[in-house]
This record gives sequence, structure tokens and C-alpha cells, in this order.
Amino acid sequence: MKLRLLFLLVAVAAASAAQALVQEDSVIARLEPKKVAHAPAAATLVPLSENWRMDGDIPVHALLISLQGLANRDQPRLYLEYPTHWQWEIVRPLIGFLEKRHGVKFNRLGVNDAETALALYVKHAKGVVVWDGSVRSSLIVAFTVAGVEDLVVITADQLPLAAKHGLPVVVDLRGKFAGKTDAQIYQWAYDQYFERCSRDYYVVMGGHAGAEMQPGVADFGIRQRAFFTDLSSNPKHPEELALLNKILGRQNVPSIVLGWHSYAKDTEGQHTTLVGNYGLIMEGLHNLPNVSFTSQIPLTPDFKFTNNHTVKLGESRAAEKKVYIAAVATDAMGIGTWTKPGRGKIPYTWQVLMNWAWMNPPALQYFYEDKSPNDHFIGGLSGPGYMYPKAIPADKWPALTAVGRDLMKRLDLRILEIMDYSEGNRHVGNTDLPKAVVDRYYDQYPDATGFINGYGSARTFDLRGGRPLLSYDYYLSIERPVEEAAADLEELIQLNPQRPYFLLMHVRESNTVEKVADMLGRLSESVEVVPLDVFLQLAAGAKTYRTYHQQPTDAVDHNP
Amino acid sequence: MSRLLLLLLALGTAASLAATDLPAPASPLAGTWHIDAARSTELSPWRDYVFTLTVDGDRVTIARRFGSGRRQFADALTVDLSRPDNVVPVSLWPDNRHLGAYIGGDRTKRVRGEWLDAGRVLRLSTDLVLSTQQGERPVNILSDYKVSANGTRLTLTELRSTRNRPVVYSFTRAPAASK
Repeated sequence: MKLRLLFLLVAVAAASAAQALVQEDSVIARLEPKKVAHAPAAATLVPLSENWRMDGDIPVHALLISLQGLANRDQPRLYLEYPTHWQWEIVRPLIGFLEKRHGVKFNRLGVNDAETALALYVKHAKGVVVWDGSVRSSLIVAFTVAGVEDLVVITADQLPLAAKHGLPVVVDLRGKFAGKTDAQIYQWAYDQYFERCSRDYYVVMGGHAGAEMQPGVADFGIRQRAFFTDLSSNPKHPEELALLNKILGRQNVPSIVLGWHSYAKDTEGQHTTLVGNYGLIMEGLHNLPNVSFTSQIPLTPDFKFTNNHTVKLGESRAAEKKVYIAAVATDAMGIGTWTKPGRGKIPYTWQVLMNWAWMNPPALQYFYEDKSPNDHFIGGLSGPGYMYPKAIPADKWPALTAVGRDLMKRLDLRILEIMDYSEGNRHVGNTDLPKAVVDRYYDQYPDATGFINGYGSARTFDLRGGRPLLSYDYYLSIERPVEEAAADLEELIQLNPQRPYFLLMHVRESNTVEKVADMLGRLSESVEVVPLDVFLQLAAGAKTYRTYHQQPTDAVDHNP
Repeated sequence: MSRLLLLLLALGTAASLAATDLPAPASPLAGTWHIDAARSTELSPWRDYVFTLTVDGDRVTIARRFGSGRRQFADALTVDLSRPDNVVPVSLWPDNRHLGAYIGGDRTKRVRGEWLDAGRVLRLSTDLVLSTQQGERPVNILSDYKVSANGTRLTLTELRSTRNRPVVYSFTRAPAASK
């Protein structure tokens, strides 16, 4: 009897462990837009102008973006060529990639040519929603309405154009919101439309605020019938925050939060913390374009995600008594320096936005095929999407880490990058991880060969089972001149006299590889720049760093 | 006017002068100073750096405020120049937040100071311990506050024992607050 009980207990424990680490692809299956068999032979391309002002070209851009979301509902048909200075710099290289690797032939229209685009794709719309040119938030509500009711978004000035194409006015928001607060406006939208919106996608149509809007991600939100707002996560706006809590609390766990917080209302730290509280996945770029198009296109049959691994699995390397440096560019694939001079010059690591494996496959294929032998990829940021681990309740971890493990495997990634600004940032507070959170990473990412932490510098360090967790010792600011940055590195080398010394450097967004190479070339100290997998492997065998986790006495700053 | 009245007025004036302490000559460094970023070592992650220096006998107080948008950090340091050592608590080391170096040891700094060049220069020598990934490292910082001849500019030169390159900040005097 006792033996049976023991057997039962062991079986239950084993089942629980297996459950915790189950390869969870059902979440991705739920979230993933259906793929077409292959990319379309032909598609329409509309170039967009540089003007994104509310009183400028936003009306025609909003029309085209909403039309794009509808036209691309079941097939990728319409691609928008965003202007030269668009933050997501891959929008243009991706055109050539889609032509070359996927055989898409683009039929190019004129700049902002809504007339021809409507003529081609009017059949995908049931009418129009008219937004109020005097109330900015009415456009954000109109995006919600467009997705739910299959409507093109227009202003009053565009009514003749809509009529010409036989599109009736189905919803008219003019005058409806005069004098109302954003909390009241979005509450109205919630009451009218939320029940018919997706529980898997919510869009924060923030980022640029006031006189400008860059709703690049709206086409995908419309395609997915997402609810749109730019509600604030700032406690200074209690009515907006209450409604936002209600919305996030009603979404599936996990599900996707697209877009970015409003620069005018709250902070990145506040927004990301709140999203994490609900165990949701943030894909944080409000101007990420054309996902309604690219999300449906599969990888080419001859392609497989292959990383540049310098270290073979199970291989051990002995560190010499010297300074090792690894350079990592976070959030720089697409909005940083991939296309700028210098890439390939030195070993360099790039953090991959892992959800693009299913949400934006052509973009990831482009990066993987365009990499140089010196480019190495790692997963991030903190998991599948941008998230702060300290903000995520422990019971919401397994579902997220299952997705993270799955994506790391699909993308041939072995190292995971962690960042947590829920209690501080580069300026104040702390960016460290308590032991309980570190435990969870080690337990729930058993295949990861190592972890790195921070964004600015941080001081969490650990080593378990040959798998190091190292924090950034240096943050290369965009503003930092090379001579001062070189002096910074030399100072760190002075401050850390033992050898080997492992100096992990975070390279911020638009710093070019060329700048980093120049800075490293100026050092009076002898250093070796190595790929991150080599760096971590060496650090696994020579623990000159102290184990440190966040302490209860560490300063906390909740992102004012 | 009688001679007696003139005598009384003169006595009264003398008495009132005697009753009021004549102000000591103000230190040319006293006041509020605002960084001139264009003439300074690059300051990131901070964008702003203001300090107020006050002198009260041998006691010099420097109240600093660093800012970057919504993020602010302020601290204050009072040094008694007559003492060989002033122990000052430190909550955060704001000098270079790009580095993986944090206040360590007993979270204090030991500061001694002196006036040089007839009060035109204040020199502080600070000893503190920074904590890094490899442990704790004592650091000395030599800080010279030098005011320009016309009193409108102040140059702060900091020599850290661990840094090969000096840090030089240039400040302009903030206008006195109106009364």
C-alpha cells in the first residue's frame, strides 16, 4: 500500500513537472494569423508621404491603412511603402526581399493614391466610419469601428471620395465626442464595440501624441478586429487607468497587446508593468507597418531559422586571464542599425523579437538570411514579447515561458535576454532580479545555455549548472562620444581588476556597429571581443563575478 | 540745527553701525550653478545638473540635483573644512550611471576640503567604495571647483582614481532669485 502511494506521489510529481514545462504551441495556434500557401504573385504597393500630422496627411494615411487592414483580411494584397525616415527602417528593404525571395510582383501606385487603392479594394469594405477632425481620439475609436464593422476610416472631406466608390456612411463620429474626456470617449467605444472585438488582440494606439500620429500597426489591429485606445496607465489619470484595467482584465491570458504607450500620458515603465500584471504579451511598436500583409506569408520552403553558434552544445572553453567584451544590441532589429555601415566588422549580438516567428515571418527570414558570420541572435525581451518579469504574477509564468521556450527552439536561440524596469531604470531605482525570479528563469528555461540581464547596467549575477546569468556592466548611450565611452570601458576595467573580467555591453538602438568598433579600437587596455555564446561559455568556467540578486533594501522607483 | 543734535545723530549712527555685524566677504563660489552641456563632458544619462553652493564659516554645503525628464536625483553634502574627515551618507552614486558600479562599503563617503587661491578654488577629496561585479573597490575623487575672474562661470574638474580621463563640467551662474 505504502509502495503504491509512493508510486502515485512520484507519478503526480513527474506529471506536474512535465505540465510546467510542456511545449505549449496551442497559444501560438490561437494567436497566429492563418498563413496562405505561398506569398501572392502580385500585390499593390502604395507609397506614403512623410507628413503624419493630424492637420496634414493623416486623413489619407488613415484611409489607406484601414483599407489595407480590410483588403488583407484573407489574403495579402496591399502593402504600404512608408517614407524614408520611418522608424521601422526595414519597410523598404523588405519590399526587395519579398520580390526576390517570395516572388511578389508589386504594382506601384502614386504617393497616397487612395483613389486607385479604393477602386481596387472597395469590395472588401461595407462602408465608411467618419472620424471627427477636431477630436484626435475619434480616429482611434474609428480604427476599432473599422475592424468590427468592416469600414474604411475617413474624414468629412473624404465623403465625396467614399460616395464615388459607393461606400455608405455606416458610423459617423462627428460631434459625438465634443467636450468629452478620453476616458468618456473610450468608455463609449467600449460599451458599443468591445464585446465584438478580439480577446486576443488589443491595440495601444499611442506613441506619437498631439499634433502627430503614426498608426503603422493599425492595419494589423483592424485585420484582427482589435479594440483600440490610447488609455493611460498612469495613476495620475484614474478614470483612464480604471477602464484600461477593465479592458486588459478581459483579454485572454496570454494574448497580445500591440502598439506603444502614449508619449503624452504615461511612461514605458508604467505601461509595461501593467501589461505584465495581467500576464499579457506586448509587441511594442506603434508604427510597425504592414503586419496585416506579412503575418500571412509563410517562410519560403527552402528556409530554416539557423543561428550563428560559435559554441557547440556541451562544449567547454577555458578563459584566459584577460578582459572579454560582448556587445549586444537590444530592440535594434528594425529600428536601429541593421542596415547601417559596420555590421559584420566585429562579433555582435542582436536581440530577436521572437513573436515575429509567427506574426511577421518574412521580416525574421530577412534578418536571418541577411546576417553576417559575426551576427549572433538571442531571444528577448524577458520572454515572448517585451515584458518585465517582476511585474508578472508567478501563476502567469508557465503559459508565457512555454511560448518562450517554443519560440527559442523554432528560432535556434539558446540565450535569453531579460530586462525589468518595473522598479527603476538607468537613472534611479533598481533594474535587478530577486532570487525568486532568477529561480523561475533557470527552472522554466532549462534549454537556455545562459541569460543576460539589464538594459542599463545592472548587478544581478548568477551561475547554475554551467549556465551563467550576467548583467550588463555598460550601457552605450546614443549621446556618448567615443572617447568618453572608451574612457568608461577603461574605468570598468580598472574597477574590476581580476582576470578574466567579463564586460557585457548594451549598445543602444541607433549606435552603429562602426561606432562600437571605433570605441573598442581606442582602448589602451588589451581586450578580446567575442560572440555572446563564447562570452557566456567562458564565464561559466571562470566565475570571477559575485552571485548577486536584488536585495530588499535596494532602491525602488516606480516610474513616475 | 544745534551742535547737540548733530552730536546725537552722529552717536546714533555709530551705535547702529556697531550693532550690525558687517557681512563677511561672500565666497565667489556661493550661489546656484547650472551646467553648460555644450562645454562639458557628456552628461548622459542625465540631461541636467544644477547645484547650489553655500558657505557658512568653515562649513560648505553643495546641494546637487540631476535630472532627465521625469527622473530626478538630488543629494547634499556638507563639509566642515576645519575637519580632516567628514563622513557623509550616500544613497546612490550618480556620477556615471552607465557603469556597473554602485555605492558600496558602508554606503558613506569621506570628504575633506580646502580653499585654494584666496578662496577662488574649492578642492574636495572624496573617498568612497564602489561595488562592482567583482567586489568592492576603493575610489578617490579629487574635485576642483574653480570660479572665473568675473564670477559668472564655474569649472568643476573631477579626477577619479579609476578613470584615466578627467571629467570636466562647466557651469554658469543662475540669476539670483528675486525677493
